[in-house]
Amino acid sequence: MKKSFIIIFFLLYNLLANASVFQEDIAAANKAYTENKFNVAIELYQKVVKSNFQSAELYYNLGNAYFKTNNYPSALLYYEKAKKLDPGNEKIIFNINVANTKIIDKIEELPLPFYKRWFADFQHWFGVDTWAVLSLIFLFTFLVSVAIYLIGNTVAVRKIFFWLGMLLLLCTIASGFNAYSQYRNLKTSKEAIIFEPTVNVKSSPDAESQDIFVIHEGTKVKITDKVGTWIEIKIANGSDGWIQESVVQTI
Amino acid sequence: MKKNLEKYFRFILLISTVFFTAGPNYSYAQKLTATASATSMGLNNSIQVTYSLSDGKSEGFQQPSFSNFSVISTSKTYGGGMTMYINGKKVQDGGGSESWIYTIVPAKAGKFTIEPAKVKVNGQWISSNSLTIDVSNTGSASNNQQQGKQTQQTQTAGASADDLFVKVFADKTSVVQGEQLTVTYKIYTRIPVSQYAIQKLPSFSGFWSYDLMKDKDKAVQYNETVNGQKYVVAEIRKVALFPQKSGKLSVDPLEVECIAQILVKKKANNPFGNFFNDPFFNDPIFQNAFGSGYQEVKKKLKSNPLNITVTDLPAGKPDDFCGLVGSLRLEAKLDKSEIKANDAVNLTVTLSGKGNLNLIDNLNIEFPPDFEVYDPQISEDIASGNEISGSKTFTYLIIPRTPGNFTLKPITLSYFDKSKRNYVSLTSGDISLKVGKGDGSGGAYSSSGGKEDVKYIGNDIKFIDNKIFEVFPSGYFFFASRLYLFLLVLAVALFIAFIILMRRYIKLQSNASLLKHKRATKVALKRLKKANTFMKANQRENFYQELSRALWGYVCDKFSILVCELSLDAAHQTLSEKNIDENIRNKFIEILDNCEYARFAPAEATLGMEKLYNEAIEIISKTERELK
Repeated sequence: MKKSFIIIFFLLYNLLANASVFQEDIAAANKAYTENKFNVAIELYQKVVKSNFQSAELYYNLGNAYFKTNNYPSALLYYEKAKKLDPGNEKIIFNINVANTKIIDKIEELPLPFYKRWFADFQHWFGVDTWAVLSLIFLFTFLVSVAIYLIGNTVAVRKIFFWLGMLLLLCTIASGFNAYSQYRNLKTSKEAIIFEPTVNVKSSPDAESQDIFVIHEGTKVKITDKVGTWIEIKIANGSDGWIQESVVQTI
Repeated sequence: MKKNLEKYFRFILLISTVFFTAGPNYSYAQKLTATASATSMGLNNSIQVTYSLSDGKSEGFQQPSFSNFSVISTSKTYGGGMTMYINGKKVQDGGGSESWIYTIVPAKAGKFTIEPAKVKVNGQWISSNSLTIDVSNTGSASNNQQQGKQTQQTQTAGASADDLFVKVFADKTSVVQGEQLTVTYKIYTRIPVSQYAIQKLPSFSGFWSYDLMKDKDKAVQYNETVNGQKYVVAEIRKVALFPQKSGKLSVDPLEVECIAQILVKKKANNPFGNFFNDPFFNDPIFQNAFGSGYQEVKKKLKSNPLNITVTDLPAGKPDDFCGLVGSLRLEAKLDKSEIKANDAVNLTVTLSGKGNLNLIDNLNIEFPPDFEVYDPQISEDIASGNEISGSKTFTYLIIPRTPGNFTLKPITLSYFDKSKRNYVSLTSGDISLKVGKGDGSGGAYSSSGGKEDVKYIGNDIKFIDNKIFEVFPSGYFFFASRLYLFLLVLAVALFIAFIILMRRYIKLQSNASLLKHKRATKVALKRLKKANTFMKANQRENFYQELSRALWGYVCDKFSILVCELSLDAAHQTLSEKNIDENIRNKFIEILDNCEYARFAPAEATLGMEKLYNEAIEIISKTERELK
């Protein structure tokens, strides 16, 4: 028991200590951005990113800095990275929409059935870790209410805590599931942004094969397969084809 | 008579040709002779070529193609062809003479042949001889050899380059981009010029130009001495130039065609010139009438080219710099500061001072989106001194559509101050406008009368998260971390521990009551026994106390009732809950009641100590039986 507390303390301390290393860089980057020195801001934010640290805010601010230097593919790349970490953030979604008006391709997205959309919206209320924390809180409260139910000696108390327990159990399962599905999504689903000005999408992973359609820089694609240096991509309207791996950067 | 006259004329012609023509002079009837005033000449000189037809009347003349030469003047003289009346009879002159005189200048050096000219006489074409002219590269080799003495005023055909030329002057040849320089074209002349015409204006490519010379100034003339020679100078063009790009720029030469008046004594080839060569006929008017005296000569003049070095403006141009150079002022004002919605107001922005004002044709003014703004009226008032100055006024008609207090952003404009050598930023200051509620027609707030959607003026991203946020190692997820798993396990473990503890506690509790239950009768009997001893010792108080304890203890232990909760009612209720027979129940309560009563009652009422004792024993055994 004592050992695990030490572990927790050590983990938290580690996190805080790491964050404080970049506090100065982040403050300087924010200041540079405010003073319209976007290239300086990009350099400082990238320094944090290159040290293998991340957060939705970091990616969002970096995306903004790229946007201000008219580098829309990079802006979209970092916005999408930020969105992955914080899917429900309205500012990120807003800026993605603004940045999408600046790129060439306007792809009509396939509409989702309403229940899927609702479910996705629900899942995107919070990010993975928020759901994880919530699932823990729900689990604790669920167990507490079960305990109260067990020791309760009046019928009313036992009834209330039985139903409360059921509700909390449901919440625990739901938040745990949301955390898990987002986590799996982050780990397995691969999306990418096109970084070449013009890309011909081929019908098969072969330079000689036929061009099916053309996409331009800044467009988001989903990577569905990989053969050698070729990747199979799918764009928002459902069209798919093969392109060289080097023309994209994965989100 | 006719024959005599003819002979006389022939004689004159013969004389004149002998005296005044260069070539072999054989005078035949109807012969076209070509003569040149010189056979060798300099490039800058001119010569006269004369074609004279002797003894005939031309019906047509075909001039030669003066290839390699350009003709600057032509004239024709009549030497004969007069009609005479002899004895009242009209007699046609049979042997008149005609001359065509061309003043030509060579285009280049070399030896050129002038082809024969042709004349039609009596239906026949007669050709002249051809001429060979040697043009040397040197200046004036032998100009007008054939002319006799020269007087001060008289010039031979074609003025020399020294007599008449055009020069260009610039007030500076090295300027910064956008700085004004003034270029003046002057004609220098020593001979009378009757008129001039600018043939080719310089294009001034790379410059923005402004003509400084208005019509009234065109007569500016003065005398100037150049190289000891006195010239009349006329300023024919004065232009302010503003270079638009840096580098070495050249101003093309200006080409002017002048008509110079040159006094020429036309003796050659003119029989009458000789014939009338006396002071009377030397009168210019008379001479002109006979193709002699002042002759108008066209001359093409070209100014020298001009090279201007334009240096680039220094670095650090402000964003709102648009190329203005000079010294300027900016002023902006509204004609009203308080108006009603839907009324018009004028914003006047005046840019005044010295410099290339024409360059600016648009001001960047940000108006509030609820303002209807029309394209500005631009008026210029430029005074042309030696330096362009004046003002440019932009008048914007504004109609505010909604009431409110508005402040226009200050209008800013930068220019390069050429005297201070730095950039100066002009700003107009805040312009505020109070718009009251409009009255009448279109509704108070909107001209369309309906509600307005919120207008999105720009399409920009939202601002950054301007706080010091935390960052986590990439790929770190709390959900996937050991901490999460640990906390999950901890929660479950705590719960399990709780369950175990609770169960143990319940077990302990249930054991205690079971023991009490089992021992209830024993304890009661023990107490009864004790009561019995008290009874025998006749200790009444102790007896009743012990008896009541025995009974109460029995009920408590038997039915797991806490002592503190115990009362007669509670005992009654517990007994009824345990399905004890009503008689026993009542008896039990009755004995308990009696017992309590006897404890606090006076001694007389204690008759039944033994009876109560027996009843107590009986009821306990009865209850025991009932419970089994």
